[in-house]
Amino acid sequence: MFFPVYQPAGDQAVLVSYEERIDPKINERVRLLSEAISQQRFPWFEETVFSYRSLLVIYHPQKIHFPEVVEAIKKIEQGLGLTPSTLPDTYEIPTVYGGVHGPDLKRVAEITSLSPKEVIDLYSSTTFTIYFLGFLCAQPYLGGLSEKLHVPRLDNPRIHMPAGSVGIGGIQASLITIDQPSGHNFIGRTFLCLYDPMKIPPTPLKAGDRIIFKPISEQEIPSMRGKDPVKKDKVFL
Amino acid sequence: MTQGLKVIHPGIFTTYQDLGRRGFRQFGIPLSGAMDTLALKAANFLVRNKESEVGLEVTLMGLKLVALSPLWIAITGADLHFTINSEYQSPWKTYFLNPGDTLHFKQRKSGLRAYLAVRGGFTAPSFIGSASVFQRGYMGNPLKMDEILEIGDRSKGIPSEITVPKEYLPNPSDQESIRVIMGPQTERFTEEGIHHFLNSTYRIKPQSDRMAYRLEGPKIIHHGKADIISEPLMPGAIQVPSDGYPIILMVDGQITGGYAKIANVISADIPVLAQKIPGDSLRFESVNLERAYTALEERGQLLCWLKMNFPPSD
Repeated sequence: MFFPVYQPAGDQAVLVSYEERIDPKINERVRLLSEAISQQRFPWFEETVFSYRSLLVIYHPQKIHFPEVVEAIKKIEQGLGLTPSTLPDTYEIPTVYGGVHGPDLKRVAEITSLSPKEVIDLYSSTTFTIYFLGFLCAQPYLGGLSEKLHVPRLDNPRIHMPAGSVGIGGIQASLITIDQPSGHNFIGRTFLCLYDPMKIPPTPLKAGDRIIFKPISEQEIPSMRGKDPVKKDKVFL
Repeated sequence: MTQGLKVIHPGIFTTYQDLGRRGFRQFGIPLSGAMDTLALKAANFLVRNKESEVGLEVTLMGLKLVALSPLWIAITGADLHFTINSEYQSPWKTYFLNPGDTLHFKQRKSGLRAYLAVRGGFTAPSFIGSASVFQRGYMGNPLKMDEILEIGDRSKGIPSEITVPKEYLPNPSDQESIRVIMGPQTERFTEEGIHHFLNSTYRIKPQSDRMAYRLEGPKIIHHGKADIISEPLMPGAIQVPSDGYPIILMVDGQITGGYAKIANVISADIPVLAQKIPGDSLRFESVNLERAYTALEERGQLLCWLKMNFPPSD
């Protein structure tokens, strides 16, 4: 099969899919394509939204139909460059690990045969990449979790996890931006504001950015509560 | 701004809605906005507003309001036994209110969501470019008892008594078949599963809301796993988890999802779904893209008629 594949996702969107795997290279291609299409400002264009390996191009069906949209995307896809126009930012997210803020730290340690400290050291020394913002309300989908920390989701999801909780769901690291039910293993929590519906855009984070969950003590919570994430120096490619 | 109306009873679930948040799905922000966009747009046109003005989405029953100043309103969408000063008034019409007039959506007769637009539009708090209430994302709340609803001032273009002619009225409750475009993961399902999907009656389960409609009926079986690598979704996407029961994403639905999708509901039929209530049944009919585009044009005829005859004015 030749990638990408173009399919209708209803009568207002084209789904563009690349190879079926979670791979930073593929995800970068998806991001580049999304950016390139958005920059064209086609009169029929509404918006794009992407995840790991696929991209939706949303169009106005009163102005254009599926075959013409596919043709336009193909042209852009074939001429796609290799570097994004915006450089990724790196954010240090101060995170309180364990205790009431990380109720699953013990479970993760047991399943991985690591000590809680080793779990924290491994997790907090990882530089995660944001593949995309999705689900609901700017939730980042993170790549880069060490295989040693792959832990299955809980059999009984918790009814309520607070915004800012940081953890592991299977093979993925997770950071939740709004209160929600969740079956992930949460090992810590940040008190930064990662989603603010009064701001446009509602989060400074964007796909491609890097995140480090820097350990802090409980005493430091008041000084970070409700603040915006802080950028480290730009990463140069 | 004028104090327009006061909430005597907020009803079951009444929210401010406009045409939603566009351009922010890349930040994980759902579209939101009116479930039945056709009805909201029509209500706005009837009172000479722009189609995108903020209106009220009244769900099922119970909303009771009192007018605080003279105003023109339009009622569209579901027939929720709307009364002015206890007298029944049919939807798809404009009405002039005097201060003290009481409005009540007493009980459901047909459909699920009625829309109330007011000349000048409601002045509601805006979140990420839209007043559409989306509670899960901390964007506003349903109306509360004693809340005062404020209205934007408009001097020109006084509305008049208008009734939408019968031939233009949508009849969503008569339509049982919901048209779909198959894909993008139809190949994930067994022949029998696809056969069930297109030839059975499905019932809307109680756990259905503005995020998603959950259905019950013959199971739609997958070849292998139901999970896919999480993928972006449109409202109308029909996901089928491993239990085989379809879930239709609606306007407050999530941006990305990890279940295989058997089909997408065509845009013209989303307002039809919006008027169905838990317990209602529906059938899926596969159509091609051309048919979907034509259906959308057909649905637009009412709005064309309104726009031509009652153009919006400031």
